[in-house]
Order: sequence, then C-alpha cells, then structure tokens
Amino acid sequence: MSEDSQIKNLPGIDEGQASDESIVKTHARIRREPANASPVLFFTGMALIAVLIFGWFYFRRYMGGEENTQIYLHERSDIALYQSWVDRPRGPIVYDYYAIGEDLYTKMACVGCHMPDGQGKPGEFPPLVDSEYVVLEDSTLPTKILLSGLIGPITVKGNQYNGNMPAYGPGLKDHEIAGLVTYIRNTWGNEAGEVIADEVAAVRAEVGQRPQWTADELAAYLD
Amino acid sequence: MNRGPFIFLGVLIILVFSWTTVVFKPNQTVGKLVAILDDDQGGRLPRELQGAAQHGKEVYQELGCIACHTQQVRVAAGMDIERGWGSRQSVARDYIDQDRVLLGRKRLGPDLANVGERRPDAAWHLLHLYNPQINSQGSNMPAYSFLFETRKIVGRPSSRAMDLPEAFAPPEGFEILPTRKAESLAAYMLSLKVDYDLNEAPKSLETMADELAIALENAE
Repeated sequence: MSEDSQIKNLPGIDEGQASDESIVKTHARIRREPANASPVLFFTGMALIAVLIFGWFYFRRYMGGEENTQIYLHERSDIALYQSWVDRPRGPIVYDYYAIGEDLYTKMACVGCHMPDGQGKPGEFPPLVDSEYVVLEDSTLPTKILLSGLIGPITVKGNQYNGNMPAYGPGLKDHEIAGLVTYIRNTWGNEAGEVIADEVAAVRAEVGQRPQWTADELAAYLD
Repeated sequence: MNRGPFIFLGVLIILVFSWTTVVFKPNQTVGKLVAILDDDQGGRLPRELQGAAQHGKEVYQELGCIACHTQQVRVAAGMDIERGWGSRQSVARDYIDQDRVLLGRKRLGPDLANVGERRPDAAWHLLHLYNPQINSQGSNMPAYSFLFETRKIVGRPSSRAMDLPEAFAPPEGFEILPTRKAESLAAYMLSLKVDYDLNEAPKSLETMADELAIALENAE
C-alpha cells in the first residue's frame, strides 16, 4: 500500500494516463482484496462448525434414546433406574376374587334375581344361600351354570322353580367368573372355599360352546 | 452479480430445515402413537372421554380455562409430583385422543391433569365454579356464577339445588341450580385423571425405586 501511494503517476479514473504497469498493479490490488477481508468469514465458519458439533452431542445426550426418555431424565443414574424399572419382573397377577365377585354381583344382573341377600324370590328365582347347587365340595357345578346358563324346571332346597338364567361365559373373563363363584360360595353364611381363574379356564375349555344347562344334565354332579 | 441461485439455495435450506423439524420429525416421533390395550389396567389407554365430559371439554375451551390451568405433569423440571399433582410424567400418548390438546398456557392455577383424582366429588367442583372462595379461600380464580341459575322456589326445592354456605346463599325463597354447562364442566373435571401407567412415562425417582424393590422382592 505505502509503496503504491508513493507512485505519483497512477492514473486514477483517467484512462488516458493508464500504463501497462499501472493496470497490472491495480488488478493485483483488486485480486488481493477478498483474501484480506476473510478473517470474519473464517471465524464465523469455525464458530458455526463448533456449534453444530456441540449441538450434535447435546441432542444425543438430552433428546435421543429409546422412547425419548432423556427428555425427562437427564442424569445417567436416573436413566439407569428408569430402565430397570421398565424391565422389572412382573409376577403373575394376584386377584382378590372375593372383592371382584362382590363388585360384580351388584353390577351384573345377579342381584336382580337372586337378591342382595342371596335368597332369590320365592317361586321365581332359586336362592343361593345354602343351595345344593352352590355349596358343594366341587366348584365346577356353579362355574358351569354361570358359564352356560340354566333353563327349565329345577328343585332347590325342596322348592320347585322354572326359570331361565342366561349364559355369562361369553361376557365375563375367567377371573371375573372365578370372583363371582367365590363370592356366592362364601357369603351369607356359605363356606365352600375359593375358586381361581385357572380352574374356571379349565372348566371353560371342557364345556366349550353349548346351550343352557337343564337340571337333568346337572343332576350327575350333585353331591 | 447474479445471486439468484445463492438466494434460492438459502431459501430452500431454510424451508427444508423448518419443515423437517416442525412437521416431519414430530410426525415421525409422536404422530404415529396409538392407544394401548391393557386389560390389567382397565382396557384402552389413554381412557376415552365419556358422556357429559365430552361436552365439558368444550365448555373448558370456551371459557378459556387454559389461560391459567395446565394439564401436564412434569418430572424433570419443577415440583409437580411433590405438590401432589400427579404420580408420573405426562407423555405424548396421554394426549392422542384430543383434537385440541389443552396443555395450557400458564400456571396461574394448579395443574388439572389429575384433578379428578384429587377432587373426586362433583359437588366440590360445582361449589368451586360458583365461587372459588367457598372452598379455596384466597384463590385468585374468578367466580363462574354465570354458569348457574338463580330461581324462585315454587313448591318443593329442587334436589339439584346447590348446598351453599350461609355467606353465599341466595335470598330466602330462591335456589341456585347448576346449568348443563356447569354440570358438564364438573364431569370433565372428574374425568381428568391419569390413573394408568405407561412404560415410556417415568415416575418420580423414589416411586420407581420403591416399585422396583417390591417387584424384585415378589420375583424371589
């Protein structure tokens, strides 16, 4: 620069004074310009690359991962705890059959015919209390009636009934049937022991799809 | 000085980048979430809004409740679980049924994601809507008494009439009845509860540690 400025015969904008030498010099200066102006661009570029690299690791750390859990949990120890919580062993489900049955007895239609006290309606619906079809050693009989229903004349505790109980097998799950059978066998003074879902599943598999039972078909199972 | 291609490229990059982050990536991550069937937790998760609660949600939107109430429990930031606002993190799957997701704007009032579990009584909500000072003294929530109707008692008082404390009671011979909007809103409040677990939703660290310990104990 300083050298250039001392050359007095540089043409400026007056083309007439241009010489070969001055044109070459001027062009050289023009060509040099971008290289001198680039430090800003260089540092901006470097900063951008640094931000991108940082961002990459940041997102990997806080936004990635299975199910995106790292959005919520940041510490590695917390994430480890969460992972073992997800993978925790889930044991077999323990049902409170009596409570399930108690709940369903009033929710389902049971209570409408057999009444809250389990006594049924004289002449219309047979009682569950002390009934020979409910209180017996083997729980499969009440389970079968509940699964497939019961129709036609039947004698319970010496009284004649002629009703029509629908099948509840299709609508209720095994543990719900088990709950209801457990409930009617252990309430109002009945004491006949618990029925579990596996037993119901076995009876269901044995009985399969069938029309409602009649009292004659069930007579063989009575004690 | 033809900078056309350069500008075009810049605009293209900006558009593609925003489309990717705002539309494409969220659709990839949360757009395909589906409900879960889990019989042990009572069927379909998240639970669907039933009956009047559906209408109540519209009332909730209409009254602008989201201006002060959120519906999101957070584990990582804040004290939501310590405050008793929920037991676990709210996650995207909790909201997949909602066409308008009512996350809320600000928390001037408490979070409502679990209000149905904290306050399971519809009468409490009706009183609270009629005048928050009845059962939340000092609350800065406005009274929504326009959701209620003051009526002259003709014959016997209605069974639906509000049981108000003396200071808020209507004059002698009048009774206050909730309108359908108020009842729907109360039903919606009762329906707001996150009473199921999702695998992707962490609970508080203590709860997870406890449940893990119990599960390991049972397994033995």
